Amino acid sequence: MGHAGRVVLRPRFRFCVVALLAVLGALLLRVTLAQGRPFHTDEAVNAFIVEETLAEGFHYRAHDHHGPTLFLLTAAMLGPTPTRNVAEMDAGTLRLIPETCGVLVVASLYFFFPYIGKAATLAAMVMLAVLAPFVYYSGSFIHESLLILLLSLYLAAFWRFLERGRMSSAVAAGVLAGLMLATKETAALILAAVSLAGLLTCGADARKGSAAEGGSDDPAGDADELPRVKTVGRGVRLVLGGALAVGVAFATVLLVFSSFGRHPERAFDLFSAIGAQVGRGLGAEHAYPWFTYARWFSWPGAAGLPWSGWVLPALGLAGLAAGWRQPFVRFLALSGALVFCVFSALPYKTPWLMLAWELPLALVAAVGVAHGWKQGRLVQIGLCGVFLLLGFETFQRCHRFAVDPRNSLAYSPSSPDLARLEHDLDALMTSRPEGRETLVQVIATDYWPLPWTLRKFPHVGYWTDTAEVQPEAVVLCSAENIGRLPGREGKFEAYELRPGVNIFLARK
Amino acid sequence: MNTSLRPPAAFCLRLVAAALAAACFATAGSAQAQDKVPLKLTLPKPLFVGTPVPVKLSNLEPVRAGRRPDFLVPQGVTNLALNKTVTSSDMEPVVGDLAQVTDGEKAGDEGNFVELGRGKQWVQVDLEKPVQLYAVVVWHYHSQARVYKAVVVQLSDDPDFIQGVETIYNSDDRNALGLGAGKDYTYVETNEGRIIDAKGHKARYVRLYSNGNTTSDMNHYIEVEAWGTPAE
Repeated sequence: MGHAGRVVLRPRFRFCVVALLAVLGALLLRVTLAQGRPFHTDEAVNAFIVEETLAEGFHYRAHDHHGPTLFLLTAAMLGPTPTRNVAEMDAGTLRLIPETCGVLVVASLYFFFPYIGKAATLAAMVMLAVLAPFVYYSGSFIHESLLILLLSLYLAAFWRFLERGRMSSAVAAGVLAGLMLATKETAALILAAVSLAGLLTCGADARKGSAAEGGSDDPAGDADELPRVKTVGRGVRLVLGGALAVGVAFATVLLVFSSFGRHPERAFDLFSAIGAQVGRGLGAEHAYPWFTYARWFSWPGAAGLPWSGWVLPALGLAGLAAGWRQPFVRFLALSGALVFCVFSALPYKTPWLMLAWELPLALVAAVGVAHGWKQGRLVQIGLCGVFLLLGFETFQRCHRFAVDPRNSLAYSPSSPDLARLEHDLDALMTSRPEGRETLVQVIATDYWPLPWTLRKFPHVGYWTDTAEVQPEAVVLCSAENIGRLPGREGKFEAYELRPGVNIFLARK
Repeated sequence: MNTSLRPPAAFCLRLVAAALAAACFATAGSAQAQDKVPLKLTLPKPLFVGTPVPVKLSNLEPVRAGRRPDFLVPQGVTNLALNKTVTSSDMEPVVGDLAQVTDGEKAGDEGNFVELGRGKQWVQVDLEKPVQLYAVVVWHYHSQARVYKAVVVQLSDDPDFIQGVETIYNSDDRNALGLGAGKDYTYVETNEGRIIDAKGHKARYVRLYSNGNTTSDMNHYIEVEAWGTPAE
């Protein structure tokens, strides 16, 4: 009897297999864990904006609703289909865009392997595939996943420009920066912080001189080869490239906001909203203390332990120590730190904004993983255990406690009770002479995400004045309107919209 | 030649005229019916909003998995509050009668609860003589999930609750009532009621405060029970 042959995979093939598994794992986690999660208010509003975009093009609402890219992408996805209004939309289809972006974030890390090595790149891909915050917000029809994908690509393009001084990289960085700004206004702060980090890193290295080692799989040995050009010439190239990137970014913003020329009058909408955005960032809405991000990131709560909040900083420090000689690692660390500081200083905070500094932190942590992996079997087992804990955290926070208000990722989540409301309304309609054609009146000021829940009922309107009650209508009202609806003195049944916010069905 | 054909001809003419008129009416009616379309009302659309700010529920008790643990009391305790006199900061409740607070009815049905006015309110049960209390149990309105804010329960022999006041429960972490900041949990109302440990304190009067709830500023009581034994 002969012995079994061993299959030896070439290193490049091994890299591709693990990378592909990470991408597939990312896809699986994002699609499955988001299923069944009630549509958030932000998702519901975005769906209605998509409906408006399909009908009449994108209208920018400066105060609350971000740039056009998500809406134009979704409209492009729905364009070939018969879907034209929210009644025909479903949560799973809309969430395909952010889920795809989330998977592409993992795939985009491929562009970093010349700088951090293959082992760290693979570690980063697995980490980003599994990390709870990235999985959670990839499953939400909001702008964050798209913004982080663009940020990931921008980091690679921007560093390539700083490293090589190529104008093509400047153009790419400019396009990506413009797309980021056309996605979400906070991109301005992110781009400023990342650009500053890049300039500081390059400036420090220009003073030290260049280090040259060939690229290899050893992240501790990898070092960027800085261009051997005269400092003055490099400086001129950087200034010219920077100006080019800014110009390209500006043109990209104009192009996207004008819906690629279809609405030229809307091209400058983003710039006219600067004042409103600054006011929002410094205002009282969603205002929290400076340490809030640290608390959301790492404070233990009833909704599972935040392993990522402890693991990432620890591995990040290890990665920074191991990769300190690499300018790119220092650039990532400085980018993450600056974005964290800027966002923490702003009163306005929401948990999905954390992704902007968690991305560079995760990349530095991946360098730490790659370095630790070489330290022996014991450390390898420990690192595998760490990844298992991260996966467990993702299951807890993205599935089991997905809409629990004690979960720091679930910010003003919609209540599963809305499904009961939809079911009860269906039953109520069948007993009415007009059936589903019965008028539904919502008399409240705070009612989201109710419009999404009621989207399939053909006659629903939203009022604030109790005098507008129609005798034959089905009425849903807020708590303060109970007892003030003419002809509605019967029982009011409560349904939870969001934690602490109810809507009441007036039962005759 | 007979000229009597005129009347039949006239009759025929009238018949034809009537038929023509009927045909015209029918055509007109049909045209009107064909012109009718359903009246389409333009209904007010929902206003787009930004991310809602989370409602903060201070000190909310974590959700309990499984059955409520048994609360142990000495043998022989009885509900000494049953049918006792109830007074209140709002002596003319919006809904119901204060006597319902100690009538023994604990179901959450309509008609079983007392509704007091907005904001800070209290109800007080006179046990008629000092007794040794081991548990006070309270049911606020529980037919829907809501949290009553700033629930404070005090015992005293002083009907005005100025002297000799013992606080046995205080979820008013922000001191909205001015009785001191408490560390007890706020909780979601259920038909089980809330058992408060009275720790064997002696008192004649039991006073319960609240400051609205998560759905409105009104205050509600379905039942208050005071479990104890006559003081020795």
